[in-house]
Amino acid sequence: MKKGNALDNEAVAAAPLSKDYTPHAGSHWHRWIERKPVQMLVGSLIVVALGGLIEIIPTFLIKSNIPTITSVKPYTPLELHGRDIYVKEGCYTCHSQMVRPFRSEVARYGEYSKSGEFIYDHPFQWGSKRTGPDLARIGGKYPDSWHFNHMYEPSSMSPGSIMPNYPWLMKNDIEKDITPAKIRAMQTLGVPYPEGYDKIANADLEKQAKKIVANLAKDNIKVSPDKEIIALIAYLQRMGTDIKLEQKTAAQ
Amino acid sequence: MNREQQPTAAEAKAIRHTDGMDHFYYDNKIVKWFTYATIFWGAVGMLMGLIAAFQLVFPELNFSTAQTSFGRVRPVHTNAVIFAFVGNGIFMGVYYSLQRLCKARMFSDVLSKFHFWVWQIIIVLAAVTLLAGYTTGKEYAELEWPLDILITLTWVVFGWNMFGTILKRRERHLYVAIWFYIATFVTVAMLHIVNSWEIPFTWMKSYSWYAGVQDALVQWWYGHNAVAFFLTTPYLGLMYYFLPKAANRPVYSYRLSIIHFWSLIFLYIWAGPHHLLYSSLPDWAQSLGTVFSLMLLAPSWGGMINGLLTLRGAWDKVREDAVLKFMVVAITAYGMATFEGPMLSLKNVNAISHFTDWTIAHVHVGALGWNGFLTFAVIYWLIPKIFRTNLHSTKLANWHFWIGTLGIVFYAVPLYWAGFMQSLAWKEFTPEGQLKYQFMETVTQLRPFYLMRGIGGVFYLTGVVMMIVNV
Repeated sequence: MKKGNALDNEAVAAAPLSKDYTPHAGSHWHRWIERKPVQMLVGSLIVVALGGLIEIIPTFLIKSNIPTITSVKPYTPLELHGRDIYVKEGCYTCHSQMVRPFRSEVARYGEYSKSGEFIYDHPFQWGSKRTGPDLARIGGKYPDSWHFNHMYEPSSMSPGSIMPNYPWLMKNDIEKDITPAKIRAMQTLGVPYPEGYDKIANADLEKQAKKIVANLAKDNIKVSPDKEIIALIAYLQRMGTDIKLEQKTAAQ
Repeated sequence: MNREQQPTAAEAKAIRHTDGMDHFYYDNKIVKWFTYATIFWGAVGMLMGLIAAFQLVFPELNFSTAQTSFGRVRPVHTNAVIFAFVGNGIFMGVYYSLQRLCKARMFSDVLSKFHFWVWQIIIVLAAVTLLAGYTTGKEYAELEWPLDILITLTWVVFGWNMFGTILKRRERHLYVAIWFYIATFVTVAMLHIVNSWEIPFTWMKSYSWYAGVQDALVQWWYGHNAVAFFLTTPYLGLMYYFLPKAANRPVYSYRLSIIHFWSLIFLYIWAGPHHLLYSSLPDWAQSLGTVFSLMLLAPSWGGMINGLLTLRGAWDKVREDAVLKFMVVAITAYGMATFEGPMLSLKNVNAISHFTDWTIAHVHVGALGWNGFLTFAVIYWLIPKIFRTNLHSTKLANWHFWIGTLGIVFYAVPLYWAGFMQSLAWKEFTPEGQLKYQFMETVTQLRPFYLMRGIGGVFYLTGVVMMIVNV
């Protein structure tokens, strides 16, 4: 760049298009659309729209495509906050939430994932890479205190871990002021929280948070119920447990 | 240095008519700006990738701080490389070639400038908001709703400017590169709007309109076709313009370009579900994804063949010309990646490759090889043209080529190995029927491979620094 000097405007001369144009006889049929940019645009749009339409629309229209499971319930307000923290910290960049129906995966993680388990997941968090293990069935696998210590310093619980430390989760407060807005947004999307639940959601949130704090206290961990880590633990412990619940009821 | 009179802004836009000819000016300035932006964001995006790569070897590099942790850095890397590096690369190439192919100045200088600056602002805001933790949690579509709207607006401006130029063209037939630009414009608009459909509940946070399986399907319909219509079709357009120019040969086959254009854009869209094989997505959708992914091999290789055969009779030039060298490796990498893609869409192969570093290696052959090298080729070709001089050092450009190629090899080979090894370890049982390896064992054994990958990345970035010095 230093050697030369930029030609910002390059002079050109060209003949304008003439108004009257007759195509050569015997030219390739495709030449027609090459003269018509708008038709080219519309044609491309039709060609590219087809595949998506045919693949996506049936999953909305045909119920058997995503069979619902009665024991799958919406997230509690605390879990919802925890889920949003999971999204915010980009956990999906290293962890999947999808147990594939292989012997090796069922043995390692538990029951394989069902489509009906994800109907309240806005957005889905199946992930595409397992730098760490799958988390679809993490709920109930470890005590709350394990998660607390693990998030603070992963290598303390799993030696050799390459997961980052998340100490700020113990410092930052849950954004309780936007709980009602979150609940209302979910209701708009069809998540069946009872009418007016947005007003009482924070009360439920605090109740559940206190339970987790009490659990942690048993293992000599003192933490305020307002911290983000509590919400994240609530979410992690919920994950994949809806179906376990069903199996328990079936056994009884 | 003789600096002749440059036209004023008003003169540059004016068209004079004499003897039945129009006299006007091509706008090189906007091309120059996009070139600077491409180089700058390329270096930034690759540096972010390097940081993320070394974080996987040395977790201390996460610094126990939110803004520097892998989960936030990685989306900055992917978004920067795709939308900032390749994005600006597309605009650089389109703004240069479209004017020449249409024999017309860009439709509006104001729109060009608006497009350039707002796109750069979006990139800066994207980096800041992603590191601050504002994300939708959908890969390659992480940006939150205000930025989504800004992107839509800028994309419309780009399309408006492009179509304005096409409509006032002085060349009746649209060259194949322009077909690809048109398809790119319309498809990216469709994908972005549908996938980013979300319901905001604060000024920076929203929930995806779709849930679970549908969200996954829409996301990978988008995600796969972001690869198709952001990383592939516009770059095929660039290939169709810059390769014949650099080689001074006509495109090998006109018929092949017709067939492969229409079949490529038609088939690509269906292939999204191959990202969701063995997931909870309904089986019929998985099968469709696999079948269309396999068919996709034909038009993809159609493009590669049309590119490589354009060089017939010009291979002696490849020996000397760094631009052509970059192009040949780029097209070859495209061919390898598009062969591997259909293979990875086979359910039995995918069962091994999915969730491992194999995927990461695969996309980097495409990104570093196809997109990176083609971008470098275009830059090395454009800069001397716009600045009316020779390249500072041909030798340095050749060095860039070799260290870049070495970088790709050092990047990809360890990751292929790592992915394959880890997947087999996950699946191995003892004779007693117990899983043989703890998950952690399969992580710690990867660290040397991650280190080698990082070194490959250093090589590649070194090449880019050489280019910055050279141009």
